[in-house]
Amino acid sequence: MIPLPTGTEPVRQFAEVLVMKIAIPVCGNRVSTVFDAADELLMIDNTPGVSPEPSRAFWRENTLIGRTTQIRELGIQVLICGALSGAVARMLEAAGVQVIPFIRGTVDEVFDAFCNGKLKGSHFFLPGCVPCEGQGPQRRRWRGSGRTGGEEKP
Amino acid sequence: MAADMRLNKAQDIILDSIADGVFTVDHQWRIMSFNRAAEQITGVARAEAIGQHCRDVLKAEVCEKSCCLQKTMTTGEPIANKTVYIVNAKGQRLPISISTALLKNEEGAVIGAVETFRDISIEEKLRKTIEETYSFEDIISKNHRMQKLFGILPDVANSTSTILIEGESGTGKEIFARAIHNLSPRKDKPFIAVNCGALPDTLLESELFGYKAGAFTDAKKDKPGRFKQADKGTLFLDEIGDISAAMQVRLLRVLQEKTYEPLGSVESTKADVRVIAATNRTLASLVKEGKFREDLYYRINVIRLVLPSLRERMEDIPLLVDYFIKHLNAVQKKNITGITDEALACLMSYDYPGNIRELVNIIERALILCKTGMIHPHHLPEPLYCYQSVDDGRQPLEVMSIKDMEAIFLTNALRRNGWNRLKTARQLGIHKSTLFRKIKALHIQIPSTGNPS
Repeated sequence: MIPLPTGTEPVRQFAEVLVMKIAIPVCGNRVSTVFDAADELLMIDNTPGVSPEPSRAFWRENTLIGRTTQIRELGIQVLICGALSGAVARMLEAAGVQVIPFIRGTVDEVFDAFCNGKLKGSHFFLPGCVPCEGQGPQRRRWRGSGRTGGEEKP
Repeated sequence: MAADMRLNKAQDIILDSIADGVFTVDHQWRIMSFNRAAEQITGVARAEAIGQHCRDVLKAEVCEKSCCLQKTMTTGEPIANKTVYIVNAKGQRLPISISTALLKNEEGAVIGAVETFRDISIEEKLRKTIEETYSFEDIISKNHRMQKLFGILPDVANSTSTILIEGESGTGKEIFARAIHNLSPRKDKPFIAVNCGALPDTLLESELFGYKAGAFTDAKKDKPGRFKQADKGTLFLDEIGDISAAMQVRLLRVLQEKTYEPLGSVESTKADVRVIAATNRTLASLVKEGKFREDLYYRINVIRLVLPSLRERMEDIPLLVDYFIKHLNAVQKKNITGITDEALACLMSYDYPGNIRELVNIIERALILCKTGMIHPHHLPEPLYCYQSVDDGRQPLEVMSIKDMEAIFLTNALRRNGWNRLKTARQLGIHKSTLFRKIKALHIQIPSTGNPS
């Protein structure tokens, strides 16, 4: 069972809109190292005023496209996952899903860190994937955090 | 102690001189050594990799459920040349070939395992080129219009509806159609492409629907048409806007009734084919001009995808150039390391009437002329080498700064959009205030006739 964050304050760390439905592709009780290899999808409904209820969904299809479609159909707003190819991330982001990739750790600690705004800590990122201050694909993924890594001040 | 250190250093030197990635793990799957090639392939620095769980560093799909190192440690049997996919630190999905073996000390006791791996993405690229099995991962873009297309791609691929792809010549309509096919449930069935504009009417009819023996002189035996060949798969009809009125009627019937008659046949044949049509013209205008049947237009135009021209997605040029250099390096067996900023600035100042096809040809030409190292401006065709600078005076490329190049790029982008800043910002995928800031900082002069919005 996932330890729930204290209170039910809206979670705004990564998304500009209120985050309500978060999903984590998992292997057992751990964030799957690679998105493609996840056994199932753990979903947490974090609607303010409602007690967050975790639930699990098995993948309907084993294809990337099937999984992407399922994530969209489930109304997921934020996907916290392990290693994910840029092409899939682009597809999910284009469909309005905010992707926080290259995360590792147990579901409990990752969800807790996300709710408390501490997921930016380097120990949650897979080796070599910590968002850096310079330009880079990892940094650009932090789109909802208010940091605009894709642009540089003149 | 000193001797041990010398030995370790010697081992590191030997490991780093190996072209394949090599790492060793202990019994807890913690990485003990990690060579330079492994750093390059995975994108993880040695210092970060040492002591980490190998699964977190390699990021292979097999790591979770069928770890090769674990199999070797359990059975003692080595594994050789197994192809797996990893996601590197840049988010690129790479095919690698891995081999594993036990690691033993002088006494023969198992102290861990060793994994060697080789990046085989070049071989994969060549295979894709030969087999034309393009996926959506081969469509490279960060343009906002392309991103929107990526967003609807799963739904488009999963449906069975007819698709109309519109876009200028060279924008990659066929690659897009192939990517849709390869994402769809029909991916294991044939993808058949027909260029409707390349064949006269009578030939096109027999090409699409086939014929029976005796249908005409020299028709000695039955010939299956493209609809038959694409059974349960996808039929890609390129340049659909160029077909005759008679052919339009026949095609309309197939799309409506899902049946057709081969030439000389009295029986209808069922067509279980998904049709993707493409044109470099605007079909709606052809309908207005009376050159294209309205009913066929509505039958084709169930899902309409419009591919932007390359000049509308100039921000993709660095990505595309990088991709084509790697691809052509593999095809031509060259080792061009990249492109200089000056040459890239030349490429970004051009309008590309031939779109991506023209860009590929420019890079191919540059690779022929460039023997080694980086592509320089003089490897590009002359019209690109000489370009207009911001103040309309020609100046040698060598004195260009990054700021100058940015100013040229933004000026060209603004000019292309009729000096409309909002439109330009949207096209470049940046916020309007960022563009305003850059215009001010780079002293770009907007003509008084320009659209101020």
